[in-house]
Amino acid sequence: MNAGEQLLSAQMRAFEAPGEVEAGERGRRLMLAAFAERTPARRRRRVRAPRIGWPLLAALLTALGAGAVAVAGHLREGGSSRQDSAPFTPPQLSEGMVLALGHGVAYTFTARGRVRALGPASDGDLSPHGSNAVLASGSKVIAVHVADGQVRWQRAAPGPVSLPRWSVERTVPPCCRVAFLAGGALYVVGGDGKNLHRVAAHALAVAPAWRPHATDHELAFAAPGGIRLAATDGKLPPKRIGGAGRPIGLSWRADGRVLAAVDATGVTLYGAGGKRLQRIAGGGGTVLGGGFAPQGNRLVILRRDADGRVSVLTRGLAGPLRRIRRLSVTGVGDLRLSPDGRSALIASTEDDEWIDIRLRDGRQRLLLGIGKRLRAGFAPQALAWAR
Amino acid sequence: MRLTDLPGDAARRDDMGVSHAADGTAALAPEGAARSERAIIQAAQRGDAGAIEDLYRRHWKPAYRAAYLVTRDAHAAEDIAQEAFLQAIRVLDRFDRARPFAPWLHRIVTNRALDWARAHALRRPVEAAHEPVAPDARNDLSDDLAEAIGRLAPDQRAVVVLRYLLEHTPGEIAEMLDLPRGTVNSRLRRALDELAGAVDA
Repeated sequence: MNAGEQLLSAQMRAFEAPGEVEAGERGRRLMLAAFAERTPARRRRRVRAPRIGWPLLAALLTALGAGAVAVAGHLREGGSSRQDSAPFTPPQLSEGMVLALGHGVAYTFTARGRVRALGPASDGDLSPHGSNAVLASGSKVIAVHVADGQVRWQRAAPGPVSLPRWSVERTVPPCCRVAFLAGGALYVVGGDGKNLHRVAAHALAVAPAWRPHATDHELAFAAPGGIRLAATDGKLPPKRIGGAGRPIGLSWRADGRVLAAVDATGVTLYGAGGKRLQRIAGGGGTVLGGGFAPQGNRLVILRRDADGRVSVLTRGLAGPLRRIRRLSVTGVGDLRLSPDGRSALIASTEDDEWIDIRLRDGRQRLLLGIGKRLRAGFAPQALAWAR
Repeated sequence: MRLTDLPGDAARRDDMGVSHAADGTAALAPEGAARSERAIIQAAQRGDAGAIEDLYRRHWKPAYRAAYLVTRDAHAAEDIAQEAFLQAIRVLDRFDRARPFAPWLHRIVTNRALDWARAHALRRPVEAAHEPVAPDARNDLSDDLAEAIGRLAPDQRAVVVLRYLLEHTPGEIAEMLDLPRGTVNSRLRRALDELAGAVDA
């Protein structure tokens, strides 16, 4: 709300309607009388399944027919009838868990609506399994166990930490790595907090991108003069794979064979060996962000059109970018893609809402009141989305 | 923004559970409650009359004021707000305690008030539907602003009330009124243009 709207709101909230005290008292008596007449509903009881083995029961029910099988399913589910639909739908993710940032505090927000504050942060990322989060907090990089909020490890850096990114390998630590920027340099630390080392003395403020299926923990990052690819566990210096343009986002295709470098006017695709494969024009307007989905071949772009509106565009293996949605909000945060690559999440910076867009057809779902639920301020930003 | 965030917030609570700042303005948002709304609804579901009274005290005034500002008729507002609370009692056992009560109540109140205002507007001119404010009522809404809100179309009044009195977001309002969000935004913009001269600087 701007100042005029705040003044209007204050004046309206200070308003007392005529007769409200008398009407309130009449209503109170009516309400209590109606409540006294009400018969509280009986509590639902969980129906216990009979104490016989499920295989035996299944065989018995198969013999009895389909209707009995349906009853068995009801019993196996605990016998609880489906809850009545709630009066007001709360915000819900389509899957997994989102790491969100609001008022300088990082939170996790799950598809079941569970919220947990992890601690003060300016940036962060989730581990591939979603069991840990890495937070940038001042000049420290901190790994936090999501389930209990306990700090697993923390390391000091030579400057303010930004853009921490957990590697994408889906195995157990210490396989994983965390890359982050500090003091204009790129650093990598093991998923267990050990072996912190500098990978490049100079890096631009663009989130580094771990290459999927790489054997040597390869990391693409933006540096002055072009994009570099570093084997973070090796001794070789980073090799140059891109031109001199300044990207705003880097991401690998799920198979690890193509790197997308998103800039303000479009996307350039590079092979893992550094060869420039293709230039995809953004089609007018200004590209705000985007990249490859974590699964599949889909490329997703967020673009501000010439008229100021924001569009979501996608592309499969080939062909031009195709607009699937124009948003009704004009102020947006970064684009986050779901772990299965089917949805995109965009946080509004104008309103307390996240926009969850199904990439197949552009259908959108609004997740309203996220800031209220997180108690995290007006418009929390989504930092990462994991399973 | 909450009114309780305004300066001079030495709040007191009146007999209806509505807090008043030191300057005499009333804050609609329940605050400092001894127990959470979830606990209150749980207690009400168990048959605790005190809990249902607590819930009523928290939400009556916003509901009544919203209905009044949309209908501009005190009797209609009372009926609409009462009926919304009675509906709440009817469905109390089906409430999911994890979900907020106020948006559900506001949705019912505003839609019913809007229906009433639309129907009433068809029967007689809007001006005749305005009930004069009782002279003894303490009313901090300026006469100009009250008049300006009254001159808005019912649809605009509803979105203005939901946005600036009940403080829902345009997205929430769109869901409550079953409207596209662009429509909510355009109604708000038009309403703000019409109210611009009436808001005290």
